[in-house]
Amino acid sequence: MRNIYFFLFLGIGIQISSAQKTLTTNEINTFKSAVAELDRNTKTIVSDFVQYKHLSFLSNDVETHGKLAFKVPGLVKWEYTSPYNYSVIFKDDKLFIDDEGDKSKIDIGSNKMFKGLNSLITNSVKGNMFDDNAFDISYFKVDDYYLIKFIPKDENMLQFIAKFELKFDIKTSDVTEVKMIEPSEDYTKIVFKNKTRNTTLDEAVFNN
Amino acid sequence: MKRFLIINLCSLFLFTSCAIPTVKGLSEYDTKATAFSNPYFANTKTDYVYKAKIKAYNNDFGGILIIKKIKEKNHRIVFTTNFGNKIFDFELINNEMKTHFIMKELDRKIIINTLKRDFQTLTQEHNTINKAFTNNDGNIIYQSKTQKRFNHYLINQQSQQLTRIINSTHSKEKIIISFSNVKNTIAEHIKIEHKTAPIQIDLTYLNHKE
Repeated sequence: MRNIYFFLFLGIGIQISSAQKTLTTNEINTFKSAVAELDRNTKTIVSDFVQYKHLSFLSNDVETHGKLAFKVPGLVKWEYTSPYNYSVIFKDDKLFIDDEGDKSKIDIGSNKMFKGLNSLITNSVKGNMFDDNAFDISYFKVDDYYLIKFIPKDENMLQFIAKFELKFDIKTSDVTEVKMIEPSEDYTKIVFKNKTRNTTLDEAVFNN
Repeated sequence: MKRFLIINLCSLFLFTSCAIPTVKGLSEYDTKATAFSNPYFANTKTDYVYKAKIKAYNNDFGGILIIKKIKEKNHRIVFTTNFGNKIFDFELINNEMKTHFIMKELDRKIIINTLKRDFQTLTQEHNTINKAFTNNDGNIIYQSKTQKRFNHYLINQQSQQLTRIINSTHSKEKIIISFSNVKNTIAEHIKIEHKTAPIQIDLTYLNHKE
């Protein structure tokens, strides 16, 4: 009898460990072309999001809600609406911040860190950040989604982020979740909800 | 003559050293209490999560300040941007500070020491009362000695709540922390002002799950 349980547990163990499957080169190429095609055909993106900040010592993750808007070539508005109002607009090499009515502007043309942040945000929203020069990338299939892991090569970035993990819907090739894992293993997870592409988006959305 | 001068100088030094500006001219209050407990960051079950606005030397920063009491005499203090990136991650253990992380740009002794003093003053729970005073409004001020300075805990007479901590040297007030909108031992608004440097931190409590 005990042996049956042993084999049963062994079976479950094997199933769990096989839940994450590495993609083959062919699967990777097909997936990357699907993401690139989706990106090529995208003029706008609007989405709600929930951000979870996980710190090992907290009882609960810090949860913030908001919405984002993207318009080609590189207009991004990232807006927190709950539990406070805070928005950032990336526009013309500038960062426009509205912190509960306190407005400020940062010239990102001269700021390497913000420039990097801008391209990371834009690319992760679009899902298209398969830059082998910037990251060591590995591709997996888990249940009904693809899990792509990006390990930064840049020493400065490694100071903040040990790894990015992006989840993609297998059917739509659209990114559904971004997780930024710090060297301490604390992380920030952003889950996109109600994401739509190519809806009409007025330029005025990107005015602060 | 020389001896007279020395005595005078010494008494002048003694006189000024006793005149801590926070309690100068106030009458001493005869209290039986020997210790004062700061209630605001004292619950190990609560995640203290605040929206933070920092103004320092004409720079503005926004973010989230997270404080957690891990156990007695041990607090973790993390400041992140709104996007969640850590700016610093400190741990106060028995009044010593361990830096788990700090952004390269802020990794300077003077900044770390300033932050250490602010967070020590803000979170230190158990404080031995050195003297007590009453001010003109009838509020009680408990004076507690720290290593090189004094912390003054101002208790509002009506609400019996801690409304202010004033950190002073013998001659100057250095940091004033004001607490308002107190609900269930959570101060929903906290202002940290530096009197000798252009630094101000405003904290607003976020309704985080407990």
